[in-house]
Amino acid sequence: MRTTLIARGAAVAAAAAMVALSAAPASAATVSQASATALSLELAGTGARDTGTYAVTNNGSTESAEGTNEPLITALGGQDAIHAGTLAQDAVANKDATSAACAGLAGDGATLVAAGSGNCLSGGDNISLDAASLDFSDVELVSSGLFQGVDQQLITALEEAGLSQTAVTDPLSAALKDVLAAMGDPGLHLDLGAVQSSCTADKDSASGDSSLANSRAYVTIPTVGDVTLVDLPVDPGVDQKVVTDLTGVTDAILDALRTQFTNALNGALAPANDGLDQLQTQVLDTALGQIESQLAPLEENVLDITLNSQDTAPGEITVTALDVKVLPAAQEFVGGSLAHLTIGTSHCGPNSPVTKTVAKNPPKAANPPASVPTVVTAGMESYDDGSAGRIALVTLLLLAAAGAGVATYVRMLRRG
Amino acid sequence: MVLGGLVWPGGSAAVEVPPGAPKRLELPGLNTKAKVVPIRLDGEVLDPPRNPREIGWWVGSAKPGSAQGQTVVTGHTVHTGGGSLNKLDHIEEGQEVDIVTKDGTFQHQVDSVEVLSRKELAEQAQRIFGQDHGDGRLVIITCTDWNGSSYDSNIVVLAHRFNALPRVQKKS
Repeated sequence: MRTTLIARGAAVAAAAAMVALSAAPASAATVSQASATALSLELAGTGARDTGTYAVTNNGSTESAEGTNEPLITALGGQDAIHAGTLAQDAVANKDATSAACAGLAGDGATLVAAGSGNCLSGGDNISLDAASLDFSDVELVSSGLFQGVDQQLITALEEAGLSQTAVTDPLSAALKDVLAAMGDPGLHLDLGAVQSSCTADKDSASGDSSLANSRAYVTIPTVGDVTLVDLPVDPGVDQKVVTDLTGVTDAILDALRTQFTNALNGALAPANDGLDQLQTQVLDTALGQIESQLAPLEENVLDITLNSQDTAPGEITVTALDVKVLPAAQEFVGGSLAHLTIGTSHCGPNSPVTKTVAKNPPKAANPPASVPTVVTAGMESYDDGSAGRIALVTLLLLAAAGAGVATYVRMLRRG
Repeated sequence: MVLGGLVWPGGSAAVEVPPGAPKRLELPGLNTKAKVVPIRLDGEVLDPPRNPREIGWWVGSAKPGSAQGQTVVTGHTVHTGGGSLNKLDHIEEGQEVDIVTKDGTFQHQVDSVEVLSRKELAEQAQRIFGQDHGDGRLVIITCTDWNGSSYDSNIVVLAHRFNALPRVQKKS
């Protein structure tokens, strides 16, 4: 399955709504305003989907609202990326020229909190979001290149043993296909706790923040299991970029190929009595080098993840908790379309008819006064990775097998 | 202009290993190797990765190979065993500590091993973790002094860099 996400259209629509509100002339008696969009995504070829934007304004005496502040996951129909969870998007605009908004996503069981208190989601289970599937079907061996640089004497020895070069390269190509088939289409997932943003604004300035609870990106490989790409920070800095390194995935593929290639070469070269060890080494290195170079884009960066994205203007701010795109470098492995997803977009202000002073939201982590750790909590009492249970199970099986053997032997003695 | 990284003679041509995010920490004298993942400060608390077999690299510290600052890594000591830095209390001055990036390996030699109480660590935090000094020094830290329910102290290992080995490229 190739699932791809693009939310550019949805994000643009949401942003347009915000800009429309923001651009409303102050003379139109808009004293305060805010808006929130819980989630937006677009599937390649099937259009944009989002939870809509809940937007409020206050004219100094009355608050008006557009959209819904009770978004439902079911509104995101026609997509396979996300099926369950609790959405939140809420905003308030007060006549005293203050406003607040919050937006986000959490797993089932989360508690909703009204805007104005910072976060609007509390607790809840984690939720798994299918970002994409990796596709390795285009990875191939260039058979003609496998013997480049190989000693002519070895080629001659190969021919003297009655073997053609094809007899060596064909088993390698077959082994590559087998390994990649076993790998399947590894899924690229986001495991998310409560992901949310919030903002507040008054007549002078605006500020916002984001938080992500227990969130990570990981890949599921059928033959390996889950490989964590990156743990997302709970309290990210402003516009914090996160790099997803798939070295663990490429290492798993190369390890499997090394074994399979070695077996294939042993079989192919068996008719040559001396095994042609040098030839085997040279061809193996060349073949693995070919594959490694093809997988290189995965070792750079696959997902362009921005946390706590903040866009500020005098007296107003837009905060997006999580923004995810699949980078072009990885495009060949995740299908033909880019993926883009945004979660938790909150917008506050501007809230005064007078000209605002520029109040660029102060970044939390930027230029901190030499912030260093003062506590290092690097001790644990115990850790159970499940190995004790596995060892106990194996021991029980061995004991059972030994018992069965003894019983059989005793029966044989009795019969004898 | 090269601000960081080491240039080391390799045959007829000098080979540079640029600064880069650490991938693996190796302590040959303790027969210890562990994967390194990035971690961030939570307030003023540096908490290693949830998986105690992994090492955390504080992203607010220098990348290995940097000419300035110091690289700070931390890993768990697990009382019942299995922590990535369980053996750190056996390290000695002069021993080698290596940190591997995607471009090569930076070799360090241990200069000092200190056991500090939590209060002492907080008081000396700028000296140990500050990034305005260090010249690329490596700082390794874990917990020690199990009191039956928690750990009372930290072990801090300081090591200077003495060599950089570029990653060996496979022949194609």
